[in-house]
Amino acid sequence: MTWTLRLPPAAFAGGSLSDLTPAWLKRVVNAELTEFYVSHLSPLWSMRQVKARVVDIVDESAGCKSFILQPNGLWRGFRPGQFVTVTVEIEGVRQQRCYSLSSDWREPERLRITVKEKKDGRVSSWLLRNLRKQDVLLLSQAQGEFTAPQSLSEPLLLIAAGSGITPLRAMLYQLEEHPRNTVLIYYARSREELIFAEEIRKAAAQCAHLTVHICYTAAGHNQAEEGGRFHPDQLSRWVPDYRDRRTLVCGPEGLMQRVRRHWREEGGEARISFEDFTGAFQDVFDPGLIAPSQSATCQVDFQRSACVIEADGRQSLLDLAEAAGLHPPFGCRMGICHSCKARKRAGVVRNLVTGKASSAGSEEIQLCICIPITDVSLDV
Amino acid sequence: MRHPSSRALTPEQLESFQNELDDLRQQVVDDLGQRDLEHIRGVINAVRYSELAGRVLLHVSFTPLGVVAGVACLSLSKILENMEVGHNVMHGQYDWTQDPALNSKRYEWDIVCAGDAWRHYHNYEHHTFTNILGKDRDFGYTITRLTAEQPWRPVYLLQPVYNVVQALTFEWGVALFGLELERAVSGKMSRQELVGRLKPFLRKAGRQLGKDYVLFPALAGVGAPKVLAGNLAANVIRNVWAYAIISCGHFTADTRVYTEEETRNESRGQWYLRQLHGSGNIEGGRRFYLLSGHLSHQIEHHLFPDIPAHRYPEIAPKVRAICDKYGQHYNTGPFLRQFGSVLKRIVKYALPIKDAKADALQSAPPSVQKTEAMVARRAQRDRKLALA
Ligand code: FES
Repeated sequence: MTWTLRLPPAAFAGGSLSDLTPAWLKRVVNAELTEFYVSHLSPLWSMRQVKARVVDIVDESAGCKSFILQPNGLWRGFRPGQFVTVTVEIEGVRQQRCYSLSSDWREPERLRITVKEKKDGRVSSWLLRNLRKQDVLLLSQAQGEFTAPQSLSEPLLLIAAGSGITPLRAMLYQLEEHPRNTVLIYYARSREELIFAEEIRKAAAQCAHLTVHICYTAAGHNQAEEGGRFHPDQLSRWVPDYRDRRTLVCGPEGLMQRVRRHWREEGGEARISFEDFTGAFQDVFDPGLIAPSQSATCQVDFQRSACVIEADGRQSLLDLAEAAGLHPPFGCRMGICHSCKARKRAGVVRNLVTGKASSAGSEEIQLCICIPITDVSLDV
Repeated sequence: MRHPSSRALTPEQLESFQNELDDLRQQVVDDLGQRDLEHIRGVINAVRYSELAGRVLLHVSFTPLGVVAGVACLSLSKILENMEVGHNVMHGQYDWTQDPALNSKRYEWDIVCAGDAWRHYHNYEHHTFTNILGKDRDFGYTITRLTAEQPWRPVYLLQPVYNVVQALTFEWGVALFGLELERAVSGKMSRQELVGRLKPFLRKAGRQLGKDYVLFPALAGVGAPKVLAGNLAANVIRNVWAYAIISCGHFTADTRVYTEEETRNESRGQWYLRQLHGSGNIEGGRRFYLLSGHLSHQIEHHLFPDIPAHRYPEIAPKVRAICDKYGQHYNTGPFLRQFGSVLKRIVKYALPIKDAKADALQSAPPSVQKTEAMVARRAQRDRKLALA
């Protein structure tokens, strides 16, 4: 049923078109309908949604690939360090995951996200296995405040581990145009798992003001020589002036914790930023990881009403909301009418009808048949 | 809680009946995936392209055949949109896909009834209180008497006539019905509430009227009267079809009505039983099922209102087997028989009869013999079908 006309994405700059549309026309024209016809002419076209075509796929290291994406005309560009939310359909279900852009900001038509295989990363695994050239992804606009400060006189310290190098790689491109004193410390398990090794080496050779330290953390490496895991001694040895630098850190939770602890002890927290994709944007949640306890209390945060209450794991979220004096819409109170649907921003709930635990991320749930089994934030 | 030709269940039987249905639901939920998404997107494609074809044909052709083809395409589009897409998406059947275009709360359909009002009285009131007299306003749509338990009033003598009008203007009936104007007339609705209900109705109705009877005819220039008539015809065809399908769902002779008392503190199993005995299916082919939005499987829809409707034909044999196992009547039949039974009921209860036989059946203890005879008859018929 779908017929496709392939035209360059720039031919339909949806952004400018919708800006040119007079308000009265927007009211008359059914947005859903227009979107349908437009997207059936070409999968990349849209009136309001950034979409991007995969134009190239690059193997970076074992279990790690970069996807080069060409966005449609709605893309408004990005600042190095920012990320995009990628939406894919897996088994009929839309799933979202955030990926930092590792691309060169001077080439706005070639976005790059770098995806690494993770044990339970459903979206990442799906992308690595199924995404082909010419496929189209839904993207958000660039998001996030994890960017280098404007002032070029401020020296930088960049700390990355594993695929945490991606947002920092985008910042290194910035240095080529706008030189500033920068030290990069990059942790990888082994030489094989280094991402962008060649590019970083080239960047360091070209830019006199960039110093790079690469450390291998897996057993078998000469830890004394090659650095090993993050340690405060490394800082005093390699970056004696690290306290005067603006520091940006991106990597797995373990690294971020160690770094955070050290900066806290030194009282330098104001000058450090972290990029953290766990929490609300967690790729996949295995309910088995959190032992749901019926007796333990958890907190339910009704964000829109600015109201937090304790739950004992027996009452439904609808009952809890009402006990807190709120009046969310409801109907059947037995899970059939969907009147009580509300967005859960974070946390895990159990569905009383199916007995199943939800994912931990943002999704719509039925308040009348869900009980919280961890702390939960709701858009109620 | 009993249907005249169904067995009374012990509490243990009722519980295992409930569990079997819950398990069946879970099996489908666990299996939802790409196939379901492709199904609904395919239907949406069909809706959009048949609308496009219909409108283009109506605009460009001046031969009767072309106009008829245009009306046919446009009616088909509206029927599919209202029945298989609108009704089902708004039930939350595709919310699991997390696709905003298939989100039950956001979807707005191509009919004068505003989505929000319909979601409330259909998804909540009708599906929770199915066939409970006084609580399920869908039962007879307030204006039709369908059972001896409804007190007779002289106006009901006209119901065979005004049901014809209702069929022709069904979308308006549905929209006005959601306004609950009768409460405003009897003074039970505050001014403020009335305005709150009228506003979305007027906005939506204005939009629909503007689209079908002003915008598109105007675009046709000299062909305006033809396009207007074509759009009107498509809307009426959709109305009559929807009316016929929907009344077969709950108004056939076999469907039971309930009182509020007997449904108080219902268990989930009892709720399942009421959904079963309050609904009726229509037998047909795949295309017929699709055009009915799978409301041909009203029983499965009422048991599991939020699983994708195109799954109902697949699970119907399993539901039926469970019903047979527990001796529960499963109301189904070909379209003409079911619709004929509805029409008979409309005519019958227009008269001030106090249907002694029906009353007796409703309250009589179930006859085990009858149930066995029924099961035997069905087994015999099934064998015949298997041989044929
Ligand atoms: S109130 Fe009906 S589903 Fe929650």
